[in-house]
Amino acid sequence: MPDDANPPFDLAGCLDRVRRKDQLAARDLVGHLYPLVIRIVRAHLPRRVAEEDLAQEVFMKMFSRLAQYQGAVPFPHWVSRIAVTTCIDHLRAQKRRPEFRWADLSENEADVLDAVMTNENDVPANDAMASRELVHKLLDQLKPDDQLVVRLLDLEQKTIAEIAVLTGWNQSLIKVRAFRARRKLQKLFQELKRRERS
Amino acid sequence: MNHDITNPRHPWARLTQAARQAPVDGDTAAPFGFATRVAALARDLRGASLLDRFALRAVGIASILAILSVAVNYQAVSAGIFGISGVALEDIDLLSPDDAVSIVLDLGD
Repeated sequence: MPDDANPPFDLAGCLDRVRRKDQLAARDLVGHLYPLVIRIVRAHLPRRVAEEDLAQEVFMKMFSRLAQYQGAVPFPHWVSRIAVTTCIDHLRAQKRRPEFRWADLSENEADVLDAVMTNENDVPANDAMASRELVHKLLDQLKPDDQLVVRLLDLEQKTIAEIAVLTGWNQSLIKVRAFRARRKLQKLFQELKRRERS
Repeated sequence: MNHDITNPRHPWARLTQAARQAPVDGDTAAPFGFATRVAALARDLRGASLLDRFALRAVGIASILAILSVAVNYQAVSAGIFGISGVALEDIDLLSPDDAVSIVLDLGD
């Protein structure tokens, strides 16, 4: 029996109405796609950029390029790609990456980092938030394109093929970026190990 | 410390595994008024691009008209460039020394 309380969103119909300059349909489309866009934005949010501003920019690009959408890929995929490329543009615009220092970590983050570097135990579940912050701070040390690749591979566990679809980069380039980023991360860990926590 | 970053026991692998378990922060529903604001901005954007298109077309048409007007009035324009206006040339033809009006004007001087 169909669920009358929550009918499925008619994306094709909504897009048709948006193309006919229906404001209500444009609002519905934004509301429907917002969770998808905000998840991508939050995952790749550059420093000092408000997530709502970035989400708005993604939607503005979506509306301005709507005539170019031919339906070759599902519409949410097309919008995801706009969101990812918008984030990468902002990441590239960030001039300087602050140096990673033990002193800049919170007590909890420093404890977690210390623990993973000195033993081989899994990180306790209650340190998940601190781990996530640490991962973001470590990723900030990488070049924007490398950051994106590692984030998608290691945090979102996407395949190389999925990343290729999402970014428009070819698979060899993604592998090279992943290799380069992991090598840089390895160096960073070695440096942190050498410096030790004061 | 494990030196192979792809090894699941490497600090990076354990950190990312823990990070994935962190709860997704914040609500994913659009903030109140967000969709309305974005839809309105998009409408303005479409309006502006239409205006831009018309403005560009107007510049094109104005340029063609300017070129046509120069081509039609080429003789007058070229005479103007060389320092003798078309009207002056006609005046010279009309007011020759043998003309009665010229003679009367000369007498006046």
